[in-house]
Amino acid sequence: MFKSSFLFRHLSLQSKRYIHLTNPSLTAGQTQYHGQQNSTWWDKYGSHVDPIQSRVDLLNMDDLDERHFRPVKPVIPTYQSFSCFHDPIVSRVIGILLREGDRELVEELMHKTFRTIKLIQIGKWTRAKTDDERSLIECNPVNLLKQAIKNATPIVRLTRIAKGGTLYSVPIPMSPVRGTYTAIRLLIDSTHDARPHDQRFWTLFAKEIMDAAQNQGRTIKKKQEIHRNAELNRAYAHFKWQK
Amino acid sequence: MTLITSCLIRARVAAYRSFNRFYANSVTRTIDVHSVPQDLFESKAEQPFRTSTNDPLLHTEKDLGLFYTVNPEDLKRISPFGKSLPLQFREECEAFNETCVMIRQPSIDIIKLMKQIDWNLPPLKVVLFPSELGVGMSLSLFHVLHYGLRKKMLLVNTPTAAEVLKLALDATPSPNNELMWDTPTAASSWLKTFAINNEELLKETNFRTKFTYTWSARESTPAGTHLLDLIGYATERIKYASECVGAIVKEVKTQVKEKNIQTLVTFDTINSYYGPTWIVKPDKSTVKPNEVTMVKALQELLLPDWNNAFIVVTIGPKGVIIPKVREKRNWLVRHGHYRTEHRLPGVLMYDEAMTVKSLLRTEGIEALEPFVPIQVQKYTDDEFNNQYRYYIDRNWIQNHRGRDEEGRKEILFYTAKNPYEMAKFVGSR
Amino acid sequence: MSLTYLKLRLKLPSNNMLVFIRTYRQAQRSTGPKSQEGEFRTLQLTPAKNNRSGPMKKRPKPVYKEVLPPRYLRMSTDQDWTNVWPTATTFKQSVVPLPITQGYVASDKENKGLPIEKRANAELMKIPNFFHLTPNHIKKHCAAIKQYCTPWPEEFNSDEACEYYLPIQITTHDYLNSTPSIRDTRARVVKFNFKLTQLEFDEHARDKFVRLAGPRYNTDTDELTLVADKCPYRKQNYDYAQYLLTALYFESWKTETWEQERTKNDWQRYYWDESPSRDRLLDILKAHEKDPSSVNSKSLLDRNKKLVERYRKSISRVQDEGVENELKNLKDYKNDVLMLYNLKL
Repeated sequence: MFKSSFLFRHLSLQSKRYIHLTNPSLTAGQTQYHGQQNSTWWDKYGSHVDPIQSRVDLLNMDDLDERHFRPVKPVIPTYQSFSCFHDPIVSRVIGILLREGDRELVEELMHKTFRTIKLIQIGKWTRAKTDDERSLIECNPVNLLKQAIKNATPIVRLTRIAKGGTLYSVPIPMSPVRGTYTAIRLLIDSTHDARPHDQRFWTLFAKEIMDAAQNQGRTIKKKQEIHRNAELNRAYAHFKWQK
Repeated sequence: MTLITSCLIRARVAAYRSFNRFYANSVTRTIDVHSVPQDLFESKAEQPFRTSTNDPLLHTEKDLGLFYTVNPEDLKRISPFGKSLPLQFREECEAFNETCVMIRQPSIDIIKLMKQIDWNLPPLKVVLFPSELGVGMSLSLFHVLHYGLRKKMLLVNTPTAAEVLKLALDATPSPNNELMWDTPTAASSWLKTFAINNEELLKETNFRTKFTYTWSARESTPAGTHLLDLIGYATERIKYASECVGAIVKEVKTQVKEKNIQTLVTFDTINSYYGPTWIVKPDKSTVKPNEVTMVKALQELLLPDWNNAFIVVTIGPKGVIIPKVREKRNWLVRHGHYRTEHRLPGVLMYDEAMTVKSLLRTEGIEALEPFVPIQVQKYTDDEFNNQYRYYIDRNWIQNHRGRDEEGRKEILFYTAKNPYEMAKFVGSR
Repeated sequence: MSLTYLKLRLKLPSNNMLVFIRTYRQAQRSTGPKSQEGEFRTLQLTPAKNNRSGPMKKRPKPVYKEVLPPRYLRMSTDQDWTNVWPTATTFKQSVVPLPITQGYVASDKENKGLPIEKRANAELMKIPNFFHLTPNHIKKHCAAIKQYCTPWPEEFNSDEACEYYLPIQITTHDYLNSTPSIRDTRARVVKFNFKLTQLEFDEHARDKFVRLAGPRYNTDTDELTLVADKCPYRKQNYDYAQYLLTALYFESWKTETWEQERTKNDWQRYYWDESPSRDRLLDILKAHEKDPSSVNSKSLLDRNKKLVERYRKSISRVQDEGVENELKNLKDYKNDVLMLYNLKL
């Protein structure tokens, strides 16, 4: 008993500084460990160079390429891939749809969405009479998705700035990363709103994507509402640079 | 300059900034690599992937691995309710605006057997079994059915045999026999299928009943009624549909010999007839398949007491009915195999070998004996290439990388020449 | 004399504190050299630690014994090792003339990853060694024991002969420990091991015997293993195992009334002669005949004896054997059926 209590005291003294890290109820931000040195796994890759991510790149690699003689970062299978079908924007959508780490499910959802889009578009394509009609039909689901995201990206957003004791909604430009995120978020949200509710997710998502690619539908309306709000608050725009 | 345009310009300027985030940095590199689309895959002109003959009567071993187009009228007659083909395949056919089926070894073998069989013997049974999941048994069976239709055989087709035993809400106790269970909806759809399959043939041969059938004290069908009339009656009085299936089977078995009609009996996933069902009695015991009126009637087709017939059945994991009420414990996946680790513990799944003994068990084999087992394999190299070229021809592979050699190799690698896996993989590319 | 304050550091049991205590100066015996007038004399409560006033005294150099080289360097190459290492002992690096290493250096600052040599290697001392069991040792042991042995019986010249004359292999263990008690409870266990081919069975008896034996029977090696450890003494366990074997054997020859009730599924193999499969085959053979009504089943079987036998074997194999050979069995069966129907693929 003496020994165990001694051990416990010793341990508690040792890990006193880090005891809050073991508390499971804390989120990552509450651990007071944010931004500390070597707090993330990628900190040790500071001096490493980016990996090769395609076969073409590998074959065309220069003899004097720095990857020959410098340490290389690892490939992260969930984000990066050696596959020729890999598309970063699709993996971004998958990452935003992801819930509880069930990536297989979300990948299947995306596959089914793309298949639905293709079934519709290629049905139109095969039934089209002339080549002119055919050339107008975009069948590639990834291109449609990119077009939809491009159409649904808002260019401004509102932020809140306190001035003279009151909060003002101030329109500021949207950064591209955040813009892409917002567009995908809008697409997903409008899919969740879509009716009928007994339809499968991939059916509704496919419809939303195809609508947004043509600059129509609920997603585009949501984007326009964001713009309208920004326009309403344009009087406060100068608060961004006048403090 | 309005606010929005100024913001637009600022956003464009911001887009050229490089971001020091780990992912974003590496991701932009991948985009640059494939930015130039390459030329389309050129199909070799000297090796066509479609046959010139769309008539299954003329198909020989030279046509192996090639596609033939199914006449839309024939398709409607063979599977009026679309059950003879898998759903995914039908969806794709809808998009392609045509139904193309690959000619494969098992169906050619079966047709070869049908050509040389002695029709005076008891019916020969051919059992198609898969080498793994999704190798295209139903499509092989469809090809055989098409052959039968073209040869003007009497088609007795049960496209999804397991379905009857799974629709538990559909089952009602039989009015005439307390021990039996009726499945009116399934039976009436079976009757309709039978009628549409053989409408012309039945009219030509003037197929009339030989026996009198008494449905109840008031209702009966006298001998000499046309079979189509009998079916019409049963589909209206849906209560007697299941027993009408028995009547049809009886008539077919007795009259096929004297009328000299060659009969093709097909069952898809027949192994469900030798296992448990999902139909539950009020005392919580499970109904056996031969306690279902329709199934019992159809099982009589497999007996050797008639001739002028040829039986083709498939067995597969789709037909394995995993008991819902009892013995659930036996089917639980407790400790995941490394290949099945993605399955959740407690999920019901068929996880055994896909060979005859494990799918049919002793009883099933005894019921089907003697049979010719034919294994349906995965695609060969030629078949894979033809399928790939067909997809490109139909514009189904949209990703331009999928059309060059690298993409072809990757599809080959991912799917391992499994037809279903290939359809799934290519479906979203 | 004036009063002076002296600073003394005292250690108190309760706490560590500096305490100032006023004391009166008292006359002391002077031990040091006489101080002159006007010189400030220091108070020496304790004599100085080291008297450095005189010249350094030279200490005598310690005389060490001459260290001999380790024993393995002094060994001759043709020595008798059994004399050097007669019994089992802990590893001694000075005795073993081999460049043995054990483990690796773990420290990053030293030569990480290099093997550690035998000198001062505690790991080598922990593990058991077999330097006392070299071939020469064994030879000496055998030579010593030989006078107590009897010659090997000539009849047991092969494994088959041993198995024939001594069908049951009885295994017991004796334990010898340096403990106050010479008893060991593990010594009571008796194990019987034999092949079922040694016993005489008919089909029913063998089936029943295997079922009664349960997990004690190994199907792959056809071996039965009986372990008796219920009783406290070896003799009792041995007798019990003998009794068990006898009882098993004679019980398996009995046929109880309830055994008539078992269905064909209860059999361990597929009996084709009683199965519906045979009737099916007969139907087809009958259909081959010109006038089916005239023939009976026995004459049919006689006429197609070869085919029937082939068919029976192939279907039994499909029913009995597992998944490993199933594709091959199915192929055989398929060929038989095609032959039955006069078909070619």
